[in-house]
Amino acid sequence: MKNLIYIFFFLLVFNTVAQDIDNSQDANVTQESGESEIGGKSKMILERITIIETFQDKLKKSEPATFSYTNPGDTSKSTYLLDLAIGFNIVKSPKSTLAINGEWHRNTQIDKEQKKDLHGMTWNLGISNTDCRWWAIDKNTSLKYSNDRIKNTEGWVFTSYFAPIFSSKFPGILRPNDVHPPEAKHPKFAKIFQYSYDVLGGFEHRETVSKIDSLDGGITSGYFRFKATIYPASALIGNILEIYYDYTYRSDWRSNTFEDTRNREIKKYGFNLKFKIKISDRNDKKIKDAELKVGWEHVNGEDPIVGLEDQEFDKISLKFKF
Amino acid sequence: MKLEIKLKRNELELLVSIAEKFISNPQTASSEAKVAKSAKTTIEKVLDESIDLEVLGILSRFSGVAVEDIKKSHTLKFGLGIGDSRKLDLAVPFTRLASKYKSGAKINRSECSDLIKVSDCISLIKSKI
Repeated sequence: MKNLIYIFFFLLVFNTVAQDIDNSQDANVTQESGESEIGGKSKMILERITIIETFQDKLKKSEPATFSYTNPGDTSKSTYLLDLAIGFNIVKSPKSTLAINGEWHRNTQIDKEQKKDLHGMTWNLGISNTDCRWWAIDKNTSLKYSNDRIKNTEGWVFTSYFAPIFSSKFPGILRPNDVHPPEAKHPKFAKIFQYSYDVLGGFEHRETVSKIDSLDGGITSGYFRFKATIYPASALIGNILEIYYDYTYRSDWRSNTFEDTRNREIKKYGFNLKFKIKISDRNDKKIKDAELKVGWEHVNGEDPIVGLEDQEFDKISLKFKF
Repeated sequence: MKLEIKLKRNELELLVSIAEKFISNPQTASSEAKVAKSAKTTIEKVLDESIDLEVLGILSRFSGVAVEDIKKSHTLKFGLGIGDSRKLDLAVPFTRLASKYKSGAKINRSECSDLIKVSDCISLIKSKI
């Protein structure tokens, strides 16, 4: 209960700060200047900023940031969990987006602690377009500096993921990424049950620089990901509940470290309750939609990119996306 | 008797500006100004709805849902079934549409990722032209 209060406090502060930045900037503008240039600028900055759980993971682009803190109250150590990524779009175009971002992943509540930072660039490019072709590929490439504070290693991470997407000519119920059936087409069925699934492939390279020989070197691996989500009973509760299963498989192709090449898996399943918050300026004009999620997740496996060692645990958390 | 006239968008815009001049002219009789005003609002409505229809046309092609079935209150994800990654692809046809009305108008992938409802798409296009 105590950590829930902490989380709420954090989110409230964040929300207020975000609104304050905009309001204070607006307030700087005198009435003579009419349409606020400064206000416009601050709004543009807010529009460019994204706060989510991680940029590393293509499908998690829609997953909110997580924070939780536990203070046991006795002599034992307090623990915390943080999955936060802040991004800033520097180049925007109809075909691609380039963003600089920083990520912090901390989890001291589990057996094998996780403390990893990632800083770098992410480039999202649409290869082809489903408006003129029946197929397209959503490509997400990133190059980042990484710092593992548990192993005391630094290095860099290169990832490239490809997600196939198809136009509406592709058979409806099989089309990845889309939600089936759409409410506009089958209003009755959609109110009972909707689903979507995603498939992702790609490769990763992690280079570590360390004084310890066994850690020094690079590993290249192939990447496969499958995620399925169902949205039940929207007639009763709206689209607030999502239940998901998420499976990631990494197969090491090449390793010049002392670590053997092997297969790494991570399975996650859980549910989220999702709420929308509208962030608007003084004139009640929408700037951006924020999202608040309360969720339970079971994690089993390892994720070397975010520094998660092989283990199994459950987590209940409050997440925030901006 | 039904009379149908086909006019291009710029011709309709010209008609609006003529009506505006007519209304603002002090020599215009009040009854004539009233007619001009109603004509102006009708033309403006047509202009406004033509953009709506074009946006709905793009969304219909994207989702496979017929234009008649799309409501402005539908969400792109659950209402029309357009997934988060595919939503980004809307940037290209939306840019094409916006640049038709105002050359150089651009809609970015990151702007498309913020779209939630059909009405958001329409207001995004209108804000650019």
